[in-house]
Amino acid sequence: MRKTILYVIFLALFLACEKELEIDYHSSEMLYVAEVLLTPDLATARVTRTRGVMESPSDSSFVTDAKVTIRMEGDPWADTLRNRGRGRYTSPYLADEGKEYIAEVIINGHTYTSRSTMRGAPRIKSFNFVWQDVVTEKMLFADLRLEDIPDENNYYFMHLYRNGVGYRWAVMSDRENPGAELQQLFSCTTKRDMDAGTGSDVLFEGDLMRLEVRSIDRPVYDYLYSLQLMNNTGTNPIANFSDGLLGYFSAYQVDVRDIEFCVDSIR
Amino acid sequence: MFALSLFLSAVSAVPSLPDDTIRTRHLDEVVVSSQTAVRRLESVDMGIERLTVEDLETTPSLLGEKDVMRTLQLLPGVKQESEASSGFQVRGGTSAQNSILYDHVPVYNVGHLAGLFSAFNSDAVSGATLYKCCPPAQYGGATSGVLDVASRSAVADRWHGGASIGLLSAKVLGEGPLGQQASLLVCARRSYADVPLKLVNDFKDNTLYFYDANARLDYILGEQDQLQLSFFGSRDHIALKDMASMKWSNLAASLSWRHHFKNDAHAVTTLLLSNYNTDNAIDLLGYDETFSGHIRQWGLREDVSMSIGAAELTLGGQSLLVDVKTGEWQAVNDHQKEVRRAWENTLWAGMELRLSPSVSTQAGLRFSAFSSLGGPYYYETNEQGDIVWFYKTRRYHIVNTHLTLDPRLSLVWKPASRLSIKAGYGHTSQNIHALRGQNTSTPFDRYTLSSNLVKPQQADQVSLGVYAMSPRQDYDLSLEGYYRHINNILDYRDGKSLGSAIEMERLVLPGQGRCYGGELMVRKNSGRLTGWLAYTLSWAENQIDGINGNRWYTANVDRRHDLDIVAVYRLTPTWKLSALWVYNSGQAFTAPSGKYEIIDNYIYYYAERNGYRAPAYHRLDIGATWTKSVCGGKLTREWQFGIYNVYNRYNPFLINFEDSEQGSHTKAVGYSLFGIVPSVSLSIKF
Repeated sequence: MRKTILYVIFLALFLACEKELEIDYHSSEMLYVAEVLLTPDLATARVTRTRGVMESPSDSSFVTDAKVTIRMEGDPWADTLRNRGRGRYTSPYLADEGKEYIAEVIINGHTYTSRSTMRGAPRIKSFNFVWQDVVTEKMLFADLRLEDIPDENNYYFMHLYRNGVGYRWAVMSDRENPGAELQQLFSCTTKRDMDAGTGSDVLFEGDLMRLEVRSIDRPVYDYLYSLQLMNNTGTNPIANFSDGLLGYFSAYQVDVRDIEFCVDSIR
Repeated sequence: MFALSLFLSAVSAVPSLPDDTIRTRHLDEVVVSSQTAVRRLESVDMGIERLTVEDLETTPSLLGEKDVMRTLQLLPGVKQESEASSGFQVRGGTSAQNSILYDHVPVYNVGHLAGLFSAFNSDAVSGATLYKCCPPAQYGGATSGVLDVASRSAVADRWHGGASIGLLSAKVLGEGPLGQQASLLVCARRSYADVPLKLVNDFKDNTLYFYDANARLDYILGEQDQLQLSFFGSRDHIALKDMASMKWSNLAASLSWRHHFKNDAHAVTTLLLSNYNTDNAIDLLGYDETFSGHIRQWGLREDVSMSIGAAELTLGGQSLLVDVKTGEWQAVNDHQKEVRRAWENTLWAGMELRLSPSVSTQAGLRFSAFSSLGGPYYYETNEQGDIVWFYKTRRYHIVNTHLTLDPRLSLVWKPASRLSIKAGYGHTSQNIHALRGQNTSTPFDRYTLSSNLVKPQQADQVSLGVYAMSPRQDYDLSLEGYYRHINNILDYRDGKSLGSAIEMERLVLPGQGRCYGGELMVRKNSGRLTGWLAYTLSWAENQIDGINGNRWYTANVDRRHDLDIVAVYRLTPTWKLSALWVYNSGQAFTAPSGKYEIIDNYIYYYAERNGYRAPAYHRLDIGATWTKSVCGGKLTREWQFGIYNVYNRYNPFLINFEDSEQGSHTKAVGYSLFGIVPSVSLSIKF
């Protein structure tokens, strides 16, 4: 977050205007994508294909004939997730903290593998919206505080939803204050846009805001961290699955906080 | 030196002569030398560009400020890094592959206010020389261009002064004799935009300023000995209250003792000190973080020049201690710091020889031993960049040494009086490496040194050129072609960035680069209308294992066409009009080739690195200068009017990709920096 925040501020001071550019996007070969998630009682997967930059979402991007299995390291028996249609696969699954799990995604006879370890449960300490003065403008931030899990290296994935749709996300390690309070700020929008009700980032009175914090393992943190950098670097995230399958497998525990957005309660 | 100052003074008083001051290869001192078409044609130097104070005064300026770096970017083979930077790119290299010297002392990130101004105050500078290929043996430390900025000695016939005020900054100058044996020049510049802002409630707690100061003291010890003390310091500070702060500063100081031997040989002994610091902080809603870095260098340099028969020899050596803080950050309870130290010892020998009336050659050899020094931890990594073991050596003990040998050779053949053909080869090495999060120089750049993990960057360049001029030197023309191959260029590993880890060497991967192209320069040197046309056709490509499927890809700095047209028209003795038009092919950038959905977000898939082109960059600047002597010639008053980007061309500086919430339409949004910018400045000199 560090340099990115500063650089964005730096540019915001000097950028003059914006304009949409016409780009003739090149096509590329279609690739498979899997997002496999394992909580202490449920395994879910979503298997899709990449699509063209200008293509609208359609059913053709769902992979409905994949096979997704999960097993614990050292356990010869794997559970196969049930195909729920539209590229979704789920199954009840009992997973334990501290154990390593192996996910396999089989598409057209090719097997892609990834591993993930179930971490301890995270704990949200507080979650508020706050105004911050920036020269002549006020910016709205979502201010999240976590209580770090003591005595181990921890990594967190934080996802903020607005009315059930992903709004902001970030990953963080506990490097800055191990075993104590950790802070994550999400910049949301400006007061000017809020008052005018314009822009896709504006929050409205009564919006349902859900904050989900997952404790994740190091490989997933590295994957999501690289995903976070993509806009700046123009590179793909590092691989989490074997053999070029895009996406990742994460075993995690979660803490959730729901609030109804209220302008008067902004600090 | 006193006599030299008088000479300088006399020459500068004759406005019709296109004279300039440059640092000659042999004496390593500032001397007056005519930068004429004849000199360009006959000089054995390849790929050299000299800028004079006269050049600075005639090109239109941004915000009324004459600027060495912005004028430099109008020459063939030299490109502006971006509108938000004073940095420049030479022949397909990045600005991080350049070395910028102020009186032999390295300086870094030489821009004020996001590159609006360069750090070099034109009042303090006598000229600048850029070596694009095959620099003389006394120059090194860069695989792309070497820019040597020379300070100006005081005009010492009496005390002179001056003051200037522009839209954003003001400066003052004082120069004159100190007794019979010494002269002093002092000038300082400061932005003042923050002063009126202090009166506005919304701005008063924020900070936005820069300042710089230059001083030069020349002292005649005796008939054969002179001392020169040169100082340059600059500082920038931008801060938003309760949010963020950025500071960076440069200091370059040198003390030289020049001794003239009776046999016309000269020796210059120089003590030098360089200190570049960055200090950035976030203080936002209870989240406090600071991060800083520095490059410090100090050492001793010896330059000797002599003539033996028809040969002019240059010998020298330099011993330099380098201390780089690649990064230090403090966030809540996390404090991390990485330091690298090195000792660089360099020897060089160069020779210029006239082989026949029509053929001259210049040859040079530069040997460098760059030793990493103990004290900080060093480490080894595996293929993924993870540290497999640390080790620590005693403070200032040598950890490892890189030896480099850089030969250079140039040749000029003059088959006719108004035609010459030049060829050159140069091998160069670089041991201070910069890494950037973005594609432009910022105070967030991190620097590291060659070490056990990072090898020196090394470049080989060949160049061939034809030079011609008209019978009366009214016009001259040059055409140069070049090819350069660079080894051990560095880039971030996929998924890594500046802040991924304090250990910088584990974040990068080495690769190779190649650049080639041709440059055309046509100048009109006399008459009421003067100016030049510079055109560059070029290619730049990189290959780094782990990036773009290990294939060669277009470098970010690649711009196929670069055209600069500069025209100056002397309307009357008091009015001078100028205009310049700049055209560059758009910058290469990476755009998505597909997209997919993960964590309820649309994620782009990139199939090729830098496979797209931004729209072309072009703009027109115009300027008018009114100069008049008043008070019986004791005072010169000068008004400068300018308009930057006259037709308000939208030139994208940054391109972002955005999707609707439904992911149905990806749009590329370009952000530009400067629209039309008028300026005015007033200068008074006495």
